[in-house]
Amino acid sequence: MTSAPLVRALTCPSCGGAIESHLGAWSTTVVCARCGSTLDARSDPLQILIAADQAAMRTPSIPLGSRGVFEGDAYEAVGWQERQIVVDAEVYRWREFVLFNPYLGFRYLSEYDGHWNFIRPIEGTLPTAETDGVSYAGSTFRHFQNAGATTIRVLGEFPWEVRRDDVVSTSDYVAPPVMLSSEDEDDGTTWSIGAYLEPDEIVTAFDGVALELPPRHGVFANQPSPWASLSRRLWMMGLEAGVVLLLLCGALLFMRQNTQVFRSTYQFVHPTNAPAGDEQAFVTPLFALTGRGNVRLSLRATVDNAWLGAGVTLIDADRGTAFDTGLEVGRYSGVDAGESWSEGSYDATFRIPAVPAGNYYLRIAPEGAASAEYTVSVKRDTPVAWYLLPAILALLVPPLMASIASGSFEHRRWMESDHPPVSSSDEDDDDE
Amino acid sequence: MTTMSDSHRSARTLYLIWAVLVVGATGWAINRGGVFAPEKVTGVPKSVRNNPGSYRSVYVGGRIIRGK
Repeated sequence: MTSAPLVRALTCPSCGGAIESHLGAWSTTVVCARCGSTLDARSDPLQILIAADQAAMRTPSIPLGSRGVFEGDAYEAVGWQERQIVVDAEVYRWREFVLFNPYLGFRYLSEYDGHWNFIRPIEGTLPTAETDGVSYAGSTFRHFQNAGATTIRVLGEFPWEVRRDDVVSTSDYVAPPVMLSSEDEDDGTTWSIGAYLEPDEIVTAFDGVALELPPRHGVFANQPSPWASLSRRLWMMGLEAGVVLLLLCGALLFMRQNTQVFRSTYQFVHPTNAPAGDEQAFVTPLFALTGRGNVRLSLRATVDNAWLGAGVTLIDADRGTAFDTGLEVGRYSGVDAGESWSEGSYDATFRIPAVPAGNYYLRIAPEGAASAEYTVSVKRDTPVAWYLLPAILALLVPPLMASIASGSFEHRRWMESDHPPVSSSDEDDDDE
Repeated sequence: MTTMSDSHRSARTLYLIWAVLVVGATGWAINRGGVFAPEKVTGVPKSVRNNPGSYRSVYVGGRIIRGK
């Protein structure tokens, strides 16, 4: 292939229509665009191989004769064929364009449901078989599908003897965005390698050509997942954010004062045992809160099958402000039908965030089911570590969603293959 | 025309903003020692120290319920 062939003007012996041959000596079969007759391009004058079949004619989405640029080289679309496979009584059809560059030879452009592949034949080192696929050029390709492909429509020129109803056995192997395909023919197996192209890339390649590209549906065998790389990137970002979260919050937790500023033990006397008119509410001595942060109020009482509570008010002696809260403990136990049981707790705590520094005291109003001793304590600026848990979960949500989307994409891809994902429900069905 | 890399970049930017918000909010919550506080009562008279019974807590009577 050292020189560009000349365009040869031919006449269809069936309908008399003009035919332009762009392949010259490489042309083996030419199909008349006017009547659909398949002609032997090597004969002179042209001989009819297959009579005209208007019903089988279609208009390719890329006009034959159009020039497109792929991988930096210009190719002319010279031939078009539609092929089909039948799987479980379901017919799948795709289209293939023959592209020709007089210096580089033949390439192919395939289209299925709006998914495009730029395909070149593999010469030299061929793929080698692996356990569940083949390896080629350092990559492993997983087996996707075997099928018997039947040519159902042809148009234009071909460098081989193309006929409708030709059947070849095909096998596809994928490593998105690349796909290897083999076709078993009488004279051996031919391999080709395809690279997935976005529809926009077809439009760019055939810049200025009026195209009628079909809309894209579903997920194709070697379509690159839009989620895989995003999922990986989000997991990396999530890991980085998690490290920052742990370092920052670890430092903040480490910096807490966590000091006890008040602790005292009191005796609660149940009203039935208390002198008449005895005031149960009382106040504590003043204690100072320094710095910033929360205040943790605690109540501890060793009660037995009873409860004890206290209305606790933290009062700022200087500003006249207060926070009201309540603490309650209750501990119950017993034996029921020979089984011992217990419930409740001797301790109760309540945390008030962002309490300003100052002099404070507590007003305590105890109540209870029985007289009991209890202890009230106050801690300043205690660490609250549990916020890390929802924070970590919040950081995980976007990467998890991307992973789920990626998994769904792969599921849809492999549902079209000879190796569809098996769900647990399918396995259950098989067991029945 | 929006390409895959454009939408990936947008998704990464959104996640970065989300991560900054999550880390920032968590740091803020830990630094102040919590998020939700009971309502602050103002105008508590100084006489409460001498007469604790004059103050009426929201937790008066019956079993005590946490929160307000």
